[in-house]
Amino acid sequence: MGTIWFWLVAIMITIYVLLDGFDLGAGAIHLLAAKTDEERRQVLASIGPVLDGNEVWLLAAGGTLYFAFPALYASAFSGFYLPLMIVLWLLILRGASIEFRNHIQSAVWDPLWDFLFCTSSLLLAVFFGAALGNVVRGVPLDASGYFFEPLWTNFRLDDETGILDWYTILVGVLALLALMMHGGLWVQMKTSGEVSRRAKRVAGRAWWGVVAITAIVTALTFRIQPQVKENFTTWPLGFVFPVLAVAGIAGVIFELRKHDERKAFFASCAYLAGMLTSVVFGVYPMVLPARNPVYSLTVATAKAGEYGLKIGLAWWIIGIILAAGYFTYVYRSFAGKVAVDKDSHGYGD
Amino acid sequence: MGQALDVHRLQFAFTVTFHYIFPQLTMGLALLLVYLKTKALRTGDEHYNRAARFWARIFGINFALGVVTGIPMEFQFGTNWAAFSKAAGGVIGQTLAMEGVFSFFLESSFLGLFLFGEKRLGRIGHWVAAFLVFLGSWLSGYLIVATDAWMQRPTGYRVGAHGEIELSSFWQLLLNKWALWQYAHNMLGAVQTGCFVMAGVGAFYLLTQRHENYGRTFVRAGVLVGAAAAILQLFPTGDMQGKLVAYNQQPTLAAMEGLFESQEGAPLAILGQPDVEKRKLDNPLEVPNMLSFLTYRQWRANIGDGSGSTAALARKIVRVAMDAVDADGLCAAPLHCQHRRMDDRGTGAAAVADLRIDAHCKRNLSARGGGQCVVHADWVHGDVHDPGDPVAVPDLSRDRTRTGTGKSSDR
Ligand code: HDD
Ligand code: HEM
Ligand code: HEM
Repeated sequence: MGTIWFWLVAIMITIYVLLDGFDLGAGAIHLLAAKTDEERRQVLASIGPVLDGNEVWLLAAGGTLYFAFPALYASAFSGFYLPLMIVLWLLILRGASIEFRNHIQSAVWDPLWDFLFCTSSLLLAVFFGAALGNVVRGVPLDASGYFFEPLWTNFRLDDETGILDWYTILVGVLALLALMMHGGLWVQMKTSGEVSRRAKRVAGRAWWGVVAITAIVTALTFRIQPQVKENFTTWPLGFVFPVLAVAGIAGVIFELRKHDERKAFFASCAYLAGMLTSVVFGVYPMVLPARNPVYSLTVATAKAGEYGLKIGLAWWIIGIILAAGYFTYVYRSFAGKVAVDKDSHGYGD
Repeated sequence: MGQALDVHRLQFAFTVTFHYIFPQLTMGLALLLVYLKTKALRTGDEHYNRAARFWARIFGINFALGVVTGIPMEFQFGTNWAAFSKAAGGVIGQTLAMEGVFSFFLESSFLGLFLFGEKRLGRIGHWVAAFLVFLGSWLSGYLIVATDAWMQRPTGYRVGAHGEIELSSFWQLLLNKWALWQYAHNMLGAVQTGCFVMAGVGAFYLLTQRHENYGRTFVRAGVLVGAAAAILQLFPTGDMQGKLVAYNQQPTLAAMEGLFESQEGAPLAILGQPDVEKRKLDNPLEVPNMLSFLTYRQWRANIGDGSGSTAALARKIVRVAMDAVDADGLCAAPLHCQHRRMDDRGTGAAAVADLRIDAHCKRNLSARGGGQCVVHADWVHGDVHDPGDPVAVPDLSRDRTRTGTGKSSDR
């Protein structure tokens, strides 16, 4: 039961990254790809109708994590107190800046909202990446099952780690580049004209960075977290995940050259999904590795009561089928390129 | 430690209060939007559609703020209440995760369609979108209320071998009596908020003689629906809220009413400053016997037992039920009532956890007559733990080992 939930939560987080990833990425390249007010409205319109829904995957994944692995939720969330508060502020600023830009139209305020939207998206991408880096590297858990990490210490990988050290910063940069690529591909697919062309150019440039840093981070990860190597040698079948990532990243450049906008975006999805599942596969059965491996939280030590998990599976399956239905319907309804008309900058006025 | 706890509470209180400003309004408006869309559908009058569009914009911006302020709420269960989450996450995580999976997906997906897709959806489709947004937000309200209700009156759980709190009955958690009443009460409040805002905007338009036809629609809808909700808010739901507190959380009632001494025919204090040192209410403005009447529907009903202290009050209330358990239970039970915690920090042998006191209120336990009582097991709900099966509350340290019949605990 615990392992089932481990993978279900992993899948939910992956879906979150695929979906919210493109709107974070669109935000991160907002100022680069869109220069005029008209163009910026196009970028916002391309994510507006789906943004809330995408963010809900984070909440649903968080809620599911909470109920399936209460001990993990408790120690991770209290240990990452500082970065979580920063992430919260960024989420709030981002949501508010989009909303205010749509409602208060003024040449004075618009640049501020655009700036806030762009920087908050950008920093969120970095923080999510750094969070992933922390989980892979391991945190200073002790026998009580709790830990606390400052934002940074001496940036080295010894026992007193901070949230940011050279490894997690590197993962953060990788996340930013990957989401810029992902978001750029989304924007070029959903918009037209100059914005679409610029977004494509940004995505193409980010691609090189993604390839380079992916290679470095992968090599480092095998050394920093021994469990990864162990898992891949014990179950060679697990190589499907990295293979998916490699195929995805190759697909991106291939399809970009062929000018197939949709396929390029889906290839980028495959890359992200491949990367995340590789990591998840690599750390299993740990849910939160500790710097001192004895104290690592594992599926078995962190999971909730058996009865609750069983009941949960029943409603979770129903709920996710429903959610998948809504999402397919919503994305279908907003299929195609956005056009900036009266409809797209306010709420149906 | 004490200070950190205060800071956490302050942070949580601030964020939950700030968050709740928005749902309060959006849940009310969601109902009113369905009302306006239904009117538009039935009368075919474009006027109602325009009115709905106007409110949809206000709804949209408040909803977005509700979402961004709501995300911190969920995080804070981990950041601020880690020990509690670790212990009880398997139970309240159920309702919280269900909220994400069932209602947040529903609301947020269809909100996008409702706000951006009126042209694409057509008349019926747009009504359906409005209805699903309403359904999602009201469902979310229920699940979060059920979460809180479990903290007020825990049901459907079991304490595992290591002090972890596990779900034992999904339906008891979901259909907690406290949750049902609290939900009704709370949603009526939300409806009123929506109504007052709508009627207020309408009244403003009427008085300033702008958009008068909209003004009239808004005032009519707001006042009619709002008045009905206000009555139901008071009775039966507000009344029942009070009774639930009186029956399940006696000391809360005493504290709410500034009642330092228990008494027969307790008054209802309209005004007064509690003086904790002298244990009395300064400058009291009281309605005699009213509290007794409101809670037990008897003018002279006894609230408390005269010995003064809240703990004693609580002890008195569970006395009858306690006779049925064992003498050690007497120490733990008032603690349970007073602090809603199940551990007496090792002051006595571990004996009893969550024994419900409505047994006494409803006079359901058999008479006391001399020796041991016969307990009608049905009336003693919750788990009765044997001595030696201590129930720990995780964030409290044990200040000394047990001396009673129980095993000494190494936790
Ligand atoms: C009874 C009503 C009620 C109460 C007491 C609360 N909420 Fe709430 N919440 C809602 C009713 C609601 C809602 C009506 O469903 C919202 C308002 C806007 C929205 O998007 O949904 C919402 C939004 C909302 C969101 C964003 C949902 C989304 O993205 O769609 C989260 C994560 C939470 N809430 C979580 C909480 C937590 C953890 C609370 C308490 C500690 C809490 N809410 C109190
Ligand atoms: C307005 C309605 C609410 C009231 C009157 C209320 C009341 C209370 C009370 C009396 C406590 C115990 C505090 C203590 O023992 O020190 C408490 C604790 C708590 N409540 Fe609520 N609650 C409400 C809403 C909520 C909601 C909606 C949630 C979230 C789902 C929530 C989450 C919590 C948490 C996490 C605690 C534990 C923190 C603590 O002990 O201070 N409450 N609540
Ligand atoms: C005539 C009006 C009202 C009466 C008589 C009334 C009565 C009560 C009582 C007696 C309680 C229990 C107090 C406690 O748990 O400590 C309560 C709780 C509560 N009320 Fe009201 N109330 C009224 C109006 C409102 C309004 C307008 C709202 C919302 C806008 C509201 C929201 C709540 C909430 C959220 C709780 C907490 C429920 C809980 O903790 O179980 N009430 N109310």
